Amino acid sequence: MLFKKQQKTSTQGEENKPSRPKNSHYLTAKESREIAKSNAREMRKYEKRKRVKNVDESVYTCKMQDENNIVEFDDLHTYFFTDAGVSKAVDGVTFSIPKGATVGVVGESGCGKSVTSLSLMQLVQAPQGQIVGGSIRFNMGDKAYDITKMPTSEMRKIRGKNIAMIFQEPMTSLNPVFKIGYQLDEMSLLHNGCTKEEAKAHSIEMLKLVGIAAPERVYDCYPHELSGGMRQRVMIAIALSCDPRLIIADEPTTALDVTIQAQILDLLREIKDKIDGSIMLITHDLGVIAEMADYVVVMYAGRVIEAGTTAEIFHNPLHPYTIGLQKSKPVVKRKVERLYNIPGQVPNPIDMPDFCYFKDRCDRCIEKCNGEYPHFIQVSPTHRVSCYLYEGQEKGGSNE
Amino acid sequence: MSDETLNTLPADEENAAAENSSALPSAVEEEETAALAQAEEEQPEEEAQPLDPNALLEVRHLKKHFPAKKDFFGRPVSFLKAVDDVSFKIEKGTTLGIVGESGCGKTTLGRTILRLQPATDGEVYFDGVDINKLNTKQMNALRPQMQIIFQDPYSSLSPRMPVGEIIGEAVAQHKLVPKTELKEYVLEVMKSCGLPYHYYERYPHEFSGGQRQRICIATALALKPRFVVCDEPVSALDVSIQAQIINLLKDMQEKMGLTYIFISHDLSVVEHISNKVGVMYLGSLVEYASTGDIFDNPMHPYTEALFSAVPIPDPDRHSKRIILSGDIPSPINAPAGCKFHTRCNHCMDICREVAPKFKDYGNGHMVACHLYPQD
Amino acid sequence: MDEINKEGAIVEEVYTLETDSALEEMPAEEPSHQPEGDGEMQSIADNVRSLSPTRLVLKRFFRSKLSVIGLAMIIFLFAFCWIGPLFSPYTETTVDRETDRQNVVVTKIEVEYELEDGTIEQFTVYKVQKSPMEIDSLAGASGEHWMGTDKNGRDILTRVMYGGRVSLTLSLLVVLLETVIGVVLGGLAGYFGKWVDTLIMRIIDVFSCIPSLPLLLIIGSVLDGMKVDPNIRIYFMMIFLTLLGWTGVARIVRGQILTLREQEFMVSATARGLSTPRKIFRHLIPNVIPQLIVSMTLGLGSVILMEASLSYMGLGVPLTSASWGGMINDVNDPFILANYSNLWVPPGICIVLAVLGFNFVGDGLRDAFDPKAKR
Repeated sequence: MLFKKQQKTSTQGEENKPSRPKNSHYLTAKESREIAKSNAREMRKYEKRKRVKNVDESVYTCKMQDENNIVEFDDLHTYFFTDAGVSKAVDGVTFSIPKGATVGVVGESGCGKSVTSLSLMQLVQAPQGQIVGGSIRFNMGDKAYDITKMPTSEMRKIRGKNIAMIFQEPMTSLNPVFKIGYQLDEMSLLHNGCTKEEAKAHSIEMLKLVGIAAPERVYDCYPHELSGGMRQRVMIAIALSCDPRLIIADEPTTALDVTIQAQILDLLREIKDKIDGSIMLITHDLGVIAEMADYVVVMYAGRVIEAGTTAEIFHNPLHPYTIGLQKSKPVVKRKVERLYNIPGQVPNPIDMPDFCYFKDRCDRCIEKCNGEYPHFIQVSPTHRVSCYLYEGQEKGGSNE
Repeated sequence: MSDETLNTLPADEENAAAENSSALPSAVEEEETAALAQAEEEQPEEEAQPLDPNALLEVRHLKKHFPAKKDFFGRPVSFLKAVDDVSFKIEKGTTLGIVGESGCGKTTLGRTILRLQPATDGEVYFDGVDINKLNTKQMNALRPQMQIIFQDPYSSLSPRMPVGEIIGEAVAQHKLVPKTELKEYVLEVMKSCGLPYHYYERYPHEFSGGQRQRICIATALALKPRFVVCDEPVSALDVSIQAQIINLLKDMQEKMGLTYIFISHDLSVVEHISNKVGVMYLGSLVEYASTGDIFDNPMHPYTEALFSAVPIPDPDRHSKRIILSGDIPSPINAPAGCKFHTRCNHCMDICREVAPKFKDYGNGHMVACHLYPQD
Repeated sequence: MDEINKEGAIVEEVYTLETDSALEEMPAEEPSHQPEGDGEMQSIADNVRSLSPTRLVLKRFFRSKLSVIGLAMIIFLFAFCWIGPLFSPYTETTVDRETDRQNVVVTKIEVEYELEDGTIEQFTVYKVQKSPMEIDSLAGASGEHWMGTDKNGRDILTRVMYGGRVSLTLSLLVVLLETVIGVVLGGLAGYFGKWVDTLIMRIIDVFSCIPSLPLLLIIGSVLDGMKVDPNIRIYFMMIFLTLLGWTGVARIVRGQILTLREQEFMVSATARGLSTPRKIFRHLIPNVIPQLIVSMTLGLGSVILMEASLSYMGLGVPLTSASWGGMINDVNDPFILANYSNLWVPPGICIVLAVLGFNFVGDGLRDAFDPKAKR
């Protein structure tokens, strides 16, 4: 690695022109063949494991570390075997979602926040994407399942029923050829096993719950007849229709206008209180997190770099990345002359070196940062950060 | 074409224009020029209104209507009024922020100002010249001075061209620098936009959104423009990259004395970068004032609701939200009277019938609302 | 260092050492000429190396087994047709007559002849007959003729090879010509729109209405009536094939350009005042090329089939020279169809191989060029 880098930069230094060997940026044929070979091998291995039939329930039953948690991610690793190499999209993510709480996962594109949620649903795009290690414990109430070990057939019963998902694009996440009512009924028919009349009544009730003024009319509409905000409401109604224990909201308001976003956020907050479930809110917008979340998890390049309660993260951000993220977004009525900016680019987690991934963009680097990837430092029972700057500030936490 | 307009074109641009004459005129533009010839006759009358000498760009009663429905013979029966009677001016070296929700016509406004789409009606004076009255050749010669940066850095770069060529092609075409110095010039522009030299021969698909947006900015700024329309330039980018791009745009403004129209739905960004802010709703400006005025004292109920809806990244500062009910009406059949009355919390009877005047209420704070005296 | 410097002898070595170390130090200074400290700062993000665009396409292409098989089939056919005949002892038209020794029929005739003196003497007369009819026709497979011979005693293997040359060259020519016409007309229609588009599209509609086979049959007989040299008749036929076939390409190109024209990079090209030819040839056409390559490859297969059907009906290549379709023509004789499968199966297989091969490759290319396709 080091050698490669030096070679690159030294040719650059020679004449400060685009004289860098033209293909140094590209993989050689040999390298790419090797990558393809090892990818094929790995993918086969994991696919084979998935195909095993009749898995005994005991294999994937596990025990929650804390009964008050609905989900516990424990050292989750989800890799993508891409042409350019193994992309460690989620690389050792550990956090938990308590019952009845909203946990916000923040990070920039490619930081693995969406992949974490997809892993929880077992929806990572196979065969390139595979959960290669760690466990996701899901609390079913009387028992707990390890989702990473669950067979797909069992998982299907949990998806939609116990864990529901709201996607970013309300325009594409509804099937355009079916009426709203049909798509809503489908859920309760499938999971609750009720009659058609019951399903319809339930669906209309759900539409009422998400604040749709004329539920009967919307029930008979096609998705294209509704506006973006309305569709997102319908999506939420679909997600809620089976009374899930956890709702994953993946950038639920990013595609919406500010005034509509305000409506949807209000709705989500109301609903959480009504259904007594948890929300895993994935977003890049710190404003949304501050309004919605109880706990915040900050991710960077596939790893959690800081986690804590919302107050801790916003009032006492520790990791330089978290601080930078907060400073780089202008805030209305808080005038600054020049925005702080984090230099450099968000890395694509392929071939990551073994030191803090943020080191190259960090302005508070210390010598120790050259060492191995920093471990978590528990600065308060709920607040932990992965940065060498805070070594020695540990205040023994028991959570992890 | 009047002599005056010709004189404003620098000599080298006339050359470029001559070169362009070989180009096949597109059918769209032909029709445009025909319409313009007609408009030209009215010119003396328009000259009567004096132009603000400080303004680089002055827009007067600009309208852009798209035919929405056509009858059997292809005659339009209803129009989508994307931009409906918008007037404003921008002083040299300042930034005008345009905010509004999707479908309010802010993108169309930006493109109509640059005559990327022919305007239905109204004038756009760039440096004293009504660009809607220029012919295709003259317009092409003027184009380098007015540039645009798009929202989506993925679709705004030609995918099968290396970065160096993308940046340099228009520079070469308009002969802004001698041919021999072209590469050097392009590298210099790239450097000033924070792009390493070795990107010169790479293709756009190899870059992340932020890098691509830098390439887009370099492409626009390489033409030494005086006026740039930034159409949501940071909306598609990550937060940390957004800050980089905003800072880059600000730096370049200082360095080159640029004038910006900054179109965005992100109020905090607009507040940060703009000197003046215009709020658009369904194709019309509803409020226009200096940034400080409009954020401290929003007068229009829509502006107020819009500002209150922005989430603030501070868990203790839950602002009092004014939640607007309903969605934006379709711009094809915009509501009569005040266009905002269907969602307004202060709606009065008069709002449903009479469109309010866009009036100055002191200090250049212009609002169109019946809550304020109309006379 | 100082000590070494004093010893003049190794000064030079020290000098080189110094430059080396200077080079190594360069990276540390690199960021200084880039704002926000890019450069070195990007090490992690830049660390990931990607595939070059060409390799990306190739990689996706070779991932599909079917396209590799298709490619192998095509390479085999080309090698077979162009290199194969070099190793064949026969030519396309060599009629294999039996050599003298074998083909001479010697009849011994006893002749009694009465001499002048009245005695009768018996003579033996050997009648040597060398019949031109005695050709080795319809021979079975043997060491000399691996696939036997046809009715005229020509080696089938050799004729399959030569036939392939005709079929493949013709189809390549036709497809190239179709593409050129299609790109020009489709490009014009897509780019200029309006009446140009309407005109060209209506022409395309008219052309698509023409039933090709009957027309070709008529043209075939017309050509016969005009006593056109049978050797060049096939070229006329191909020109007509082209005239009927370009519409598909034109439709593809027009559709592509219509979507590309609305892309932001085209708006950006207009905003930068690029000339129309540049917009068409540098920005639009390169983006259509992938689709063109795909449609060309898929088109090759259908032209081969068309040529085969024409030759089968006796409208194609003259009987003396070989073509796959012409060779299959022999099945017209039920006797041959039933008893001599070695006459028509080999060219048939070749047609199947060629069409399948081109289709496989075409499909593979389509997937490879499509960035949205599953990787």
